[in-house]
Amino acid sequence: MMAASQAAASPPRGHVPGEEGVWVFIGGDLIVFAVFFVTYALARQQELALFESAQALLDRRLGLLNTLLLLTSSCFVAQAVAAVRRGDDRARRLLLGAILLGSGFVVVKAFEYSAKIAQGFTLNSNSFSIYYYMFTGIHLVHVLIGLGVLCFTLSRFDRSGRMQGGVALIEGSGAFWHLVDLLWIILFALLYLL
Amino acid sequence: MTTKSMTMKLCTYMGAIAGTMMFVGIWPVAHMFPPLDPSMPAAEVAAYYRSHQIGILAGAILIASSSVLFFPFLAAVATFMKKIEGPVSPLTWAFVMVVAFGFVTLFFAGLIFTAAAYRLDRPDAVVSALSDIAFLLFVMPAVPAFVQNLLTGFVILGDRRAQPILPRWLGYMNLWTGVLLLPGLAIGLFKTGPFAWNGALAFWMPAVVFGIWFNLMIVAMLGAIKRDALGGE
Repeated sequence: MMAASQAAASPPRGHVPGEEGVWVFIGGDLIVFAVFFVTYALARQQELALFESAQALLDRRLGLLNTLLLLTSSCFVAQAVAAVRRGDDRARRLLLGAILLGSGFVVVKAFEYSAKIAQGFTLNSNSFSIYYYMFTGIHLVHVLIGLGVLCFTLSRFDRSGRMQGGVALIEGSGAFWHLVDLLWIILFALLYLL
Repeated sequence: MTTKSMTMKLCTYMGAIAGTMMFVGIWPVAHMFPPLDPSMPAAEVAAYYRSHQIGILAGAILIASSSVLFFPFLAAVATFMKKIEGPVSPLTWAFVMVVAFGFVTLFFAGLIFTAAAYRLDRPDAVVSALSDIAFLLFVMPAVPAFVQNLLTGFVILGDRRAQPILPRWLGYMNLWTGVLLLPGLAIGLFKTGPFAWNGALAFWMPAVVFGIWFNLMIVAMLGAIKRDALGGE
């Protein structure tokens, strides 16, 4: 019993979080977004003036707010994973907090899109708008998938607030959520700040 | 080797034959790979069809025939999924229905390429409109393919056996492929840029990912057939 709780507290060296297969997905997704970023960099080089003037129209405050929402949410997920490893029953509340913060990202995005569209900045306005809407849109799909996965993980807790079936599920969903966060930070820098 | 696993093996190889036929048809024979630029004026599109008429007609035969040969392969995938899901198998049924209309577009793509190249004394606008339809049929089925991959992925990951029938990484691979094919959904919105039907992100990336996915599926399925994963119980 003692040995088991110690093993749960400190994962063995060289431990891969989640199950290995999750990393097939995450690795694949990272490659894809790397292709996205290279494509964007090349297009920006070709039409530098247009990209710079269009980028200036984006609302950096909303972008920053979304960055903070996702970073805090990721922090909550990390805390939730640690809580599950400790067998702490606060894990469920931490995970719920992460889901609420992530949902805040979706709400902010909806406001941001509708404001842009109201200003006449739409999908085919110029070549920057294509990248802006498609990249943030594809990222938003990732956020929604991530939220779905986190909700599924939340449903796996029993009444006492403990998680059945080990830590692999919450580790895997946490790893995916960190990926969503990481991709947003790069997108925010490329689209809003650069 | 039992008769059943022999049939499964043949069905799986049929996928490789179908994939090769489709690729040979669209690329060296029809010269339609990568697709014609969607922003090309109608007169140029018609001129392209006039100068490549025989190749396009022959390529279209290969494309249309390959669409039929994909089905034994898809049936083999469904057989694995059925075995994993067991007697109550809604996801396998959904898969069977989605592939039935998702892959039929490939047949129609071949058909409409034929219609476009068949009578080239037609006005340029007619030839180029038919050509548009053929390319949309060829690229936009990324949408049913997305659902098909999600279903395959969920079924593989839902396998609770100690020794899963298909490897779990293949489940994640299917989910990843599905997500990646999705930019194909947006091709109707663009005539230039990375999300047009010949663009880097809506065409090239899904094409490469589809190629990788397809080959890994065949390898994993042949491996499962070899260790007789469908036998027993």
